[in-house]
Order: sequence, then structure tokens, then C-alpha cells
Amino acid sequence: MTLTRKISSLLAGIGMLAAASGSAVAQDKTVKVGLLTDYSGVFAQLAKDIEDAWMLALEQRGGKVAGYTVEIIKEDSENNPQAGVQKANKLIKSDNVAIFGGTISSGVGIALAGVADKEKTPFVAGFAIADALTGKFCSPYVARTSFSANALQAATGAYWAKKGVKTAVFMGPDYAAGQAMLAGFKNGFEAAGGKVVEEILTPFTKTKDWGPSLLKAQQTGAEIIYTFYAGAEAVQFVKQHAAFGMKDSMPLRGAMWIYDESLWDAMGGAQIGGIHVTNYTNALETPAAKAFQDAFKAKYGRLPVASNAMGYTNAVAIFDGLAKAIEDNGGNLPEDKAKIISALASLKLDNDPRGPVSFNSSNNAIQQELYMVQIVDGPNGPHQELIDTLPYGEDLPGCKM
Amino acid sequence: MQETTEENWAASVDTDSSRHDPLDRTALRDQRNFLVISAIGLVVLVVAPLVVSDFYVSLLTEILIFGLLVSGVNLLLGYTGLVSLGHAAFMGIGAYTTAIGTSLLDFPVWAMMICSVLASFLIAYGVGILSVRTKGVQFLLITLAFGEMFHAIAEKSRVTGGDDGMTNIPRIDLEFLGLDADHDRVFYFFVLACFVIAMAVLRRVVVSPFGRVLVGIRENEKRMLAVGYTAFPYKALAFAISATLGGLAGSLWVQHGFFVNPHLMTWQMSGEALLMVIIGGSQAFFGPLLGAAFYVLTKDFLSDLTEAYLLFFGLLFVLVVAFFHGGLAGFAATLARRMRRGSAKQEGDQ
Repeated sequence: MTLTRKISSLLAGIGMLAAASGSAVAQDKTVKVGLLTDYSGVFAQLAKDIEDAWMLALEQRGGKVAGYTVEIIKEDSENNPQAGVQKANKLIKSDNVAIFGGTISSGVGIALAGVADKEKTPFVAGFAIADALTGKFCSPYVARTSFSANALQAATGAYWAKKGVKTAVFMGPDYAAGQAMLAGFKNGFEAAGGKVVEEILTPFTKTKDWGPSLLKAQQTGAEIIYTFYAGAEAVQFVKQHAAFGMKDSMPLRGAMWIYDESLWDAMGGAQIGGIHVTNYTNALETPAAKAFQDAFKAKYGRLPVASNAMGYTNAVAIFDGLAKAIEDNGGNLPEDKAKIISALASLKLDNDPRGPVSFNSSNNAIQQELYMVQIVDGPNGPHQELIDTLPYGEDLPGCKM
Repeated sequence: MQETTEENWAASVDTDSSRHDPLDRTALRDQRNFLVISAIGLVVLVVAPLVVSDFYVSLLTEILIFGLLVSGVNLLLGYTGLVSLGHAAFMGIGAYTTAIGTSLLDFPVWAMMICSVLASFLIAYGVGILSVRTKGVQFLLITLAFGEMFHAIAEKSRVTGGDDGMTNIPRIDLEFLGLDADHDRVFYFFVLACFVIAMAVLRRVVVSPFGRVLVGIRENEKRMLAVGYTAFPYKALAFAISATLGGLAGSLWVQHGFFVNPHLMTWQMSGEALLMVIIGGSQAFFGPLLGAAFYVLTKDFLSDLTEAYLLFFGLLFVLVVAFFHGGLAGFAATLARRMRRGSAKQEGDQ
């Protein structure tokens, strides 16, 4: 028993040392922020988009929040939860970050939510869409600035049902995200009076020929195909759907992934006319969106894409949340880092490029308007046109904090 | 291994000055070396976490956990001469057993750790019975196929979140000792205790007649058959024991990171385990632990410097294989031998 007491006091001593070094950082008035995202792997381009947006947001704040100089520490989670957890441990235990964010992959995001909760260090997911992140695995140390699969797809499902669509076929890849998108769409569509007559889930990354699936969809005689594919699969699916001559008889509907701007060249025109939901489009005419586009163009010489806007909201929420937490604490970083997340969740980002953004305080998840856009061909090539706005859906229940 | 056999041979010829059975003498010397190395290693592993920062404690924990997995792999690769590309799956089985039992079914962690060990042993024994009849490339491919099968099951399983995985998995409750395993150093010592016990068991296995049969199978399976040993049941049991260490590693891994994800079970992970064994030195008892340490620390160091760290890691691997005969452990043994010879020579000169 004396031995365990000795060990305990030794450990307590080490803990105090760590705390002392933490307060030394505060006296220098720098705050460290971790940008932990998937720089290598299939999400490499998205990671770069997020980083660009972070740097823009930081530059606009003069590199400071509430008097603290911000030091950004970048780490690569490699689209691999194991690597993500190791890097998060480094950020938390070695670099002493006040908060970290940026993460894209849902698998990494969920693993990091657990680490954030146990290590009591705030984490703000920037792109991860898994429902569990703000549901089953929610925490006072976790927030999300992207959206949940259910909230986005239920909103879209309800939108199409209210537009008079009665029947739909769902098609998507058979893995966690595909299943979550299907469940979300079905929730919204069927609650508003529609019916998903066929669910076709194809093997993820192993499908090359969608002919049989498209044929099966055709035979149902449904009004639309609602789909979730991304990257190379989206390109092939959109092209094959067009080649089947189904663009008029059974049009494709989906979210931003299926008609992502970066895929337009590869789609070779098959994307024209495509209607999809998104949480940001350059077609937005709001002053905030215009200001963001101008600032982004001035810094990088090109217009932003949706993933830049997602990264921007992520960075702004983190920086402004930090600033608010520091101000609320009399100019010092709060000891209890959960206060950073509660400050973040109380933000009202009225000037966000994605439209007015707020957070749901019961699970720290983002709330925003969604946009229905169409791809239209023009003299300067294809571009998006805003055709409608729709309210955000609801996150899946299950969050107990 | 060639060297060790030659040494054994030399020892068995060199009988004139000895009244003992020469094989016993080598075994004794071997045992003495093992105890000295274990004692030094244990002191290092006990002192290290007290002097390094929190982050390095978590890296040390990872080293021990991977050390368990790859020591298991080494029982197959080094001692029995079988190359398995599916061992990550057994780590995954251990991990998922603990995760499902504690997080979804609310069983205590210690009970699920026992279940993890049993589950990986039983499943691996089944897989072993089916796989060890094959040899070489066929064995490699059949273990790869089984590994990918378990990986696919984990990806498809909706209760565990598919390829998103799950988090908030609890660590073992050490309340009865007045300790909190959520504390990194406490958890490290718990992992160390598991590691020491598992290594003691593995050592018993390796030096037992059973272990000697395994080495015999590696050296010449037909000769073992001729002296009356059917290789098959020995190989199947070796496969199961080796996977059990992986299962324990998996159970500790979910507690270390608080999460489980199918990524743990990919064939790349199995490949990395083989790399660790080869870098550290197969056939040396503690070689795999050295390999795991080299792997975890180098990866951490390189990934801080460059995103293309895998390239440099690959180069390092080539260098180690090309120049360090028998991996890091072999290199250390050569160094030790030279030093001993050098000092003996000096004494002779005087």
C-alpha cells in the first residue's frame, strides 16, 4: 500500500510539473493550435484546401486571438485512425495545444473524439460526417463545424419529397458513410411522404461497372436516383448514368460529393444539369460569401471551393471560440478547456461564407442553411447556380453529455 | 540462425575440458544470457517512463503493445519458419472482443481481456489447423486471405460502426490498487506487467521440448518426421500461441487509444509486424521488441520531419537488412562478442 501511495505521489508530482510548464506557456501569451488532418492518403487535396482556409482566417486575425499569438502545429493523420491518435497524443502531451481540429476522415474523427474526451483537450472536426461524432460519442470537448450525414441528407430527403417526388432509388457505396447517407436520406424522404423503393449498395472502391445496378434502378420506375458517391466512383457513376440515357427519365440527385467541382473535367459534360445540395457555393451572393471569395482570390489567385469554405468555418470557429474563452476568463486561457468548446458553441457566426452559422449547445454541432444548386453551362464553362435554400436537418439523437 | 547452430556444434565438440553434457552447458549459458538481458531490459523499461515526458510514455506503451504482437509473429517467423501475413487480424479479434464486451455489453475490462486472449487463441487454432498444412507462398496467401476476411467482417459490422469504428472504450479498472489507469504512467506499468507475464510464458514455450520441435521443423521438417514428430499439430499450436499474443496486444491497444477501427486489421499492419521482426532480428527472443521500438520511434521522428517518411523508413529498412545480419539484435550480439573477444585478447597480451 505504501508503494502504491509512493507511485501515486510521484505521478501527482509529474502532473504538477506538466501543469507548471502549461502555465509558463500562458505567460508568453502564445496559444498553440493543432491542425491535425489527412495530408497523405485519398484526402490529401481536401487537407490542403483546409490548410489554405486556416491560413487565410489566421491572416485576417493578424495571427492573434485575444492578445495571444497563435502558433499552428500541423500534423498528418494519414487517413489512419492509429496514426491520428498518435499525432493527437503528440499535440496534447508534447506540444500542449489548447485545441486541435481540421480532421476529415470520419474514422479518424471518431478516434480523436475519444482521445479529446479522455485527455480533456478540445477537438473540432472540420470535415468528418459520421453521425456518432455528435451523437453516441459526443463530449464537452468535441465540436463539429462540418455537418452530420443525417442532418444533411434528412434535410435533402424532406426537400425532394415536398417538391412532389414520390419514389426514389438510393445508390451508394457499401461502407459506413454510404450507409449513413442512405439512412439519413430515407429518414427525411419517407417522413415527408416519399418512398425509397430500392436500396442499391455497391462494393466500395471495387465497383467499375454500374450497368447492372442502373438497370435494376430503371426497372423500379422510380422518379429519381438519389446517390452518394465521391471521387473516382462519382466520375464513373455520373458518366455511366448519362450513357444509359437516364438523365431525363430518372435524373440523379445527390449532395456535393457526386458533383464536386474538382471532378468536372473528368466528367466531360455529363455533370451539366446536375442538381445537388451543398453547404457552400460560389453562387452565393451574400456580402459574407463575396468577401470570402475576394479575400481567398487575393491570397491564392483562385476562387475557393466548398472544402475551402468548410476549412474556413472550422478555423474561424476555433480562433473566435478561443478568443471568446480567453476574454470570458479575464484575458487568460481558461484552465478548464471545456470552456473553449462551450465558448465556441455559443458563437453566432453571422458573417460566415456558408451563411449564418450557429451551434446546437446540446451536442456542439453546427447549424446552417443548405443550398440546392444546379450545374449550368455558360460562356466561361460550367458553373453552379443557386436554385433554392433549405433548412438544416436534425442530428441523430443519442448524445448524452 | 546459421551462426547459432555452428556455435552449438562447436560447443558440443568442445567436450574435453568439461564433465557436463555440452548441450546442457549451452542451454545454461543461453539461460544466463537471457536472464541478464531480461534484467537489464526490465530496469530500462521501469526507469524510462519516470524520466521521459508524457508523450514518450504513450510511445513506450505503443512499443510494448507492438512488442507483444511481433514477439508472437516471431514465434512463427523466427522459431517455426512460417511467414504469416494475417496476424493483424488476431490483434483485431482481441481488440474487437474487448471493445464490444466493455463498450456495448458493459462487461468489466479484465474479464474481456481474458475473453480476448481466449477468443484469439481459439479462432487462431481453427485458422491454424486449416493453414499450416500449406507451406511457403501458399501459407502466406492463405493467412492473408483469412486476415482480409476478418478485416471485411469488421468493416461490415454495423454494431461496431463499420469502418468508422468506435471510441470511448474504457481502460482497466485499477481502483482496488488505488490507481487510475486513465493516467498514462499507470497504464504503462499495467501494460508492462502484461508484457512481462506474456514474455515469461513465451520463453517457457520456446525453451520447452515443444519449442525445440518448432526449431527442428524450421531447420528440416522431413528430418523431424523421420525422428517421429508430425509437424502439423506443432505448427497449428504454434500458430495459435503466436496469435494469442496478438489478441492480448489488441485488447491492450483499444485501451491505450480508447478506440477500435478496422484499420488495425489490414494486411499492411501484418506486413509492418513482419518488418518489425526482421528489423529487430528474428530468432532472437527480444529482437522483435527492439524492432517495435525502432519502428515506433523512427516513425515518430521521421514523420515529424517529412510527409514522405515512409520512403526514408524503407531505405532504413534496406540498410538494416543489408548490413545488420540478424537485425538489430544480431548486430548487438556481434558487438558484444567482439568486445568480449577484445577484452580476452587484451588479458592474453598482458
